[in-house]
Amino acid sequence: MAEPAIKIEGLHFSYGRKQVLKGVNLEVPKGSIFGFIGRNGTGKTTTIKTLLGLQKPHSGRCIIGGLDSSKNTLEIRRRTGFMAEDQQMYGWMKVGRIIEWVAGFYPSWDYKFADELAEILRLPMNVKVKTLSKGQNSSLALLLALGHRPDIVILDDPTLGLDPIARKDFLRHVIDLLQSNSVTVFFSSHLLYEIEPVADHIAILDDGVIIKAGKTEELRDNIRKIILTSPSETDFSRLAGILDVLKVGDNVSVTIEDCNDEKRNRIKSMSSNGMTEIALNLDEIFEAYVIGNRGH
Amino acid sequence: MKIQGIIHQQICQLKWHLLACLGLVMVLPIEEAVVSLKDGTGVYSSTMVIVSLMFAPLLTGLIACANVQGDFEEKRYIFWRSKPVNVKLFVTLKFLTGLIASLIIIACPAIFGLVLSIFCKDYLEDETLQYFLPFAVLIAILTYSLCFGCNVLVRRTARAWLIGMLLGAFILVLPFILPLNYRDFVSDVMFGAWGYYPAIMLIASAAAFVFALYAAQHEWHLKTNLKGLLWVGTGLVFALMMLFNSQVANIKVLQEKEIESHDWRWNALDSAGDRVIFQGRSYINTNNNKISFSNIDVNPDDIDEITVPTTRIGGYRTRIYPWRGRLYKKTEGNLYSLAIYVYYRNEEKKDIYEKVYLRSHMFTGESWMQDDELDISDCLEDSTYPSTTMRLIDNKLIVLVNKSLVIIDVSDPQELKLIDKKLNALKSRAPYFYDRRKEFAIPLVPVEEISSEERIRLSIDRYYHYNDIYETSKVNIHNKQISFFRISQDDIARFDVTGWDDENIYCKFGTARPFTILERLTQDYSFHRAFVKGGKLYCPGEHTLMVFDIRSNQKIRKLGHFVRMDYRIEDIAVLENGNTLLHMYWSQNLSKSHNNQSKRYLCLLENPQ
Repeated sequence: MAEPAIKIEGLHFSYGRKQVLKGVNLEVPKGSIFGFIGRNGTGKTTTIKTLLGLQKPHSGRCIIGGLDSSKNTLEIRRRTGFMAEDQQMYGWMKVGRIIEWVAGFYPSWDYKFADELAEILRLPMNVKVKTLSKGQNSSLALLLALGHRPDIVILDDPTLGLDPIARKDFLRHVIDLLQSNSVTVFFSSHLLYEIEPVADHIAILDDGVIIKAGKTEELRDNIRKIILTSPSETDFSRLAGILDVLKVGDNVSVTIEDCNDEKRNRIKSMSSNGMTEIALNLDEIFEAYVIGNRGH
Repeated sequence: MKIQGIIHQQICQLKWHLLACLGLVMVLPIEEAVVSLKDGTGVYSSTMVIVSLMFAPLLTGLIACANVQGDFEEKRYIFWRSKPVNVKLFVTLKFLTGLIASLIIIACPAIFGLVLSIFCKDYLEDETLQYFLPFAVLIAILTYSLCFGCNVLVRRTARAWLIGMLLGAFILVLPFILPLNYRDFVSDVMFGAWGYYPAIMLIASAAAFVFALYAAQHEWHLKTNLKGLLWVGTGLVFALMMLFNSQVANIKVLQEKEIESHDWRWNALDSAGDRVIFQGRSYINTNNNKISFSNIDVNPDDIDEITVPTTRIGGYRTRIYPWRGRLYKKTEGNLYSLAIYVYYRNEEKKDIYEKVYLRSHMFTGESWMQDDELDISDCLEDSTYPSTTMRLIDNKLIVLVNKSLVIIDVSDPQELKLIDKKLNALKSRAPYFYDRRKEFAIPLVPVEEISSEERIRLSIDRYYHYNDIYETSKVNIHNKQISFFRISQDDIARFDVTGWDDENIYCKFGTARPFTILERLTQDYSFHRAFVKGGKLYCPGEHTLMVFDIRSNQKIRKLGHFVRMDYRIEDIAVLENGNTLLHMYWSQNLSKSHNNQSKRYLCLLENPQ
C-alpha cells in the first residue's frame, strides 16, 4: 500500500481544560481530494493547525509527506499550501504586492503559474486587498496557497462566507486547478453538499474523534435508510449498525450502516406491511452519524 | 526567505503610524517656532522640543503596538505563520524596523530644535542635550520594547500599550525602590547616575525583545479582561506611587502641632543664636522631636502680647525693617532686637521720607525696652521710599540704606557704636542676565571690616536675596568654593564665583537643575525665599518645601520634598540639627484669609539626608 500523504495518529489537543481533540486517527491517500467534515467547534481547524505545525499536539503525531509536523514545520510549510478559514491578509497591501511578499517566503515559487492563476481567478493586481470582494479574497488566498506548486493543499473551510454562486464558482476553480496538478487536497467544511461532488474520500469528526472515514462512494453505498410501514416491533437497539430510528406516524425509518442482505432481512421481518429502501446523500449520512439516536 | 521583502512590508505597514506620530510630536515645536517668528524674537522651539521628547516614549509604545498588531491579529497571524517563515527572524526584523521608526520620532523634534537653535542663536541648554536626549532615547527604547513584547503576548493594541506603559513605569521607578540610594529623579537619574539606571532600562528592553521572540515562536497568547486589567493596573500604579513617594517625596513629618496664634504674622519664626523664637514671645524647643514652648525670660508669668514697641515721632508714620520678622542678638543672657525705623509724612498725597534710625531694644522679661538709637538719616539721598537691609556679622551690623552703607559695632547692643559710614558708596543695579552663560560681575560692597567671604556673601545677597538678607543667604561657601543660586520657573541655577578684585566679584554659570513637570505643577512664585544653610538649599514655596544638596560641584540634587496643597507655608526655620520647622496656615479657603475655619500649625520635619 502506498504511503499516505497525511497520517494522523492518536492526536490529542486541549485549550486549557477544554479537550478539543480526543485521539484523532486519520489517513489521507496521496492524490485524493479528502473531505474533512464536522460541525462548527468540533476541532477541524485545531487539527489543521496541528497538521501544519502551528501548534504542538499534547499527544499523538501528524505526518505530512513523510515529515513529522512538530519537528519539520518549515519544510512542511514549504511543501504545503494552506488556505485558512475566513483568511485575512494585509488589507493595506495591493494584490500584486502581497503575491510578491508571499513569494519571498518560498524558494519554489512559480511566478508564471501564479500569473496564470491570477488570470484564471480574474484577480485585479493593482487593487488593495481590503477592497476585494469575499470571492476575490478567497481566490487570492487560493493563489497564495498554490503559487509554489505544493504537493499537499490544505483548505480550511475555504468557502466560508461566500454566496452560493461564488461558492460554486470557487469550487469549480479549485477542482480544475487541483485535479490537473494531481495534488492531494485536504478540504475541511461543514457544508456537506459542497464537498459531496468534489471529495473522493471523507472523514467525519465529531466531539474530537473521527467517527467515520472512507471513500465517498463506499459510504453512499453502505448506508441506507429503510422505511417500515406499521412494524410489529420497534426496538432496533439490538441490531448492529443502527445509526438512527425515526417514527413518523405508523411508519418507522431506520438508518443503518454496512447495510447487507442479512440486516435487510432482519429489519424486513419486523414488519409484514412492506419496506422501502432509500439511498442517502452525504448530508443525511452526516446527520445520521452526528445526531442519530442509535435506535434508543 | 527574502529579508528585503519583510522590511519593505514593515515599512509599508508602519508608514501611516509613523507619519501620525511625527505629526503629533512635531506640532508643538513647529507651533513654538511659528509663534516666536511672528513675535519677531527669532525662530526657536527649545521649550516645546523638550515637551515633545517627554511625550515621545508614549508614541514609541504606539508604534510598537501598531508594528505587532498588524501581524498578530488572530487570522493574520495564522496567515503568515502558515508560510515557511523563520519566526525569530521575522520578529527580529519587525522589532528593528519599528525601533528605527521610534528613534526617528525622537530624532525629528530634537534635530528640528537643534537646527533652529543654531540658526537663531538661541540655546538649547547643554545639560538638556547631554543628558535629557539620551535619557529620552532610553525611555523610548524601553517603552517600545515592552509594548512590543506585550502585544506579541496580549495581541490587543490598547491593552498591550497599557500593560507596556505600566511595566515601563515600574521599571523607571524600580531603582528608587531598590537600595541604590537614588533620591532625585533629575539629578540621580537624568543628570547623574549613568550606571545602574540605563543598565536596568537596557536589560529590560532586551528581555522584552527575547520574550517577544519566544512568545511568537511558541504562540503564547494571554487572553485578557480589560476591566480586570484596568483595576489591577490602577492598583499597581497606586502601589508604585506610594513606594515612589516614600522614597522620593520623603521629608518625614516628626510632629505637627496646632497652635493658638495671637497675631497674624508671616515671619513668625526668628533665630536668636541657636534658638528659634516664635512670634517674639516664646522659644521653641524640639527635644526628642517634640515641639514645646518655653518663655523667653526665666521667670515671667504668662505673656500674652509682647511686641517690640514703635517709638512714635509726632506727625510721622513709621516703617520698620525687618517688617515681617525680627533680627535678634543674644549677649550674656540678654536678648536684644535690632531694627531700622524709617519715618515719613504724607504731604499732598505723597509720602516724604525724612528720618532713619537704627534702634536696639532689650527684653526685660515683661516687655521690650529701647536701649539705644543711632540716627542715620543722612543716608537718605532724597525723600523717596528708601530700600533698607541689614546683616549682623559677628558683632558688626552692616546697614544698607539706598546707596549708603553704615557699619555699627553691636557687641554691646545697649550702646550702638558707629564704626564707619559711607554715603553713596553702593552701586544700585544688579547685572541683568541676557545670557546666563556669559561671565558677569557683581559690584563688591565696600566693607573692609568683615572677612572677604562674608563681604562677597553680603554683596551677592544684596542683589539677589533682597529683603531677607538679615536672616538668610543664597550664597554657599564649601571647600573655599563660593557659589550662589537663582531659582526661576524652569530651574535652579548655580553660579560660581571665579574671582574678585577691589571693585567686583566675577561669576560664571555652574550648573542647573531643571524642575520636573510635577515640580512645576506644585511650584509657585514664592521661591525667592529660597536660602542656603548647612550645604543645603531650602526652597519654600507657598505649599511646598524642596530641599536640595548643593555640596557637589557637579550637580544639585534633591533630597526630598514636602507638599501640602491645602496649607500655606508662612515661615521656615532650620534648626541646628538640620531638622526644619514650618509655620503653616490652613483654611477652608486659602484665598480668603479671614475665614473662620482656619488654623495654624507648627510642623517639625526631619532633616532630609
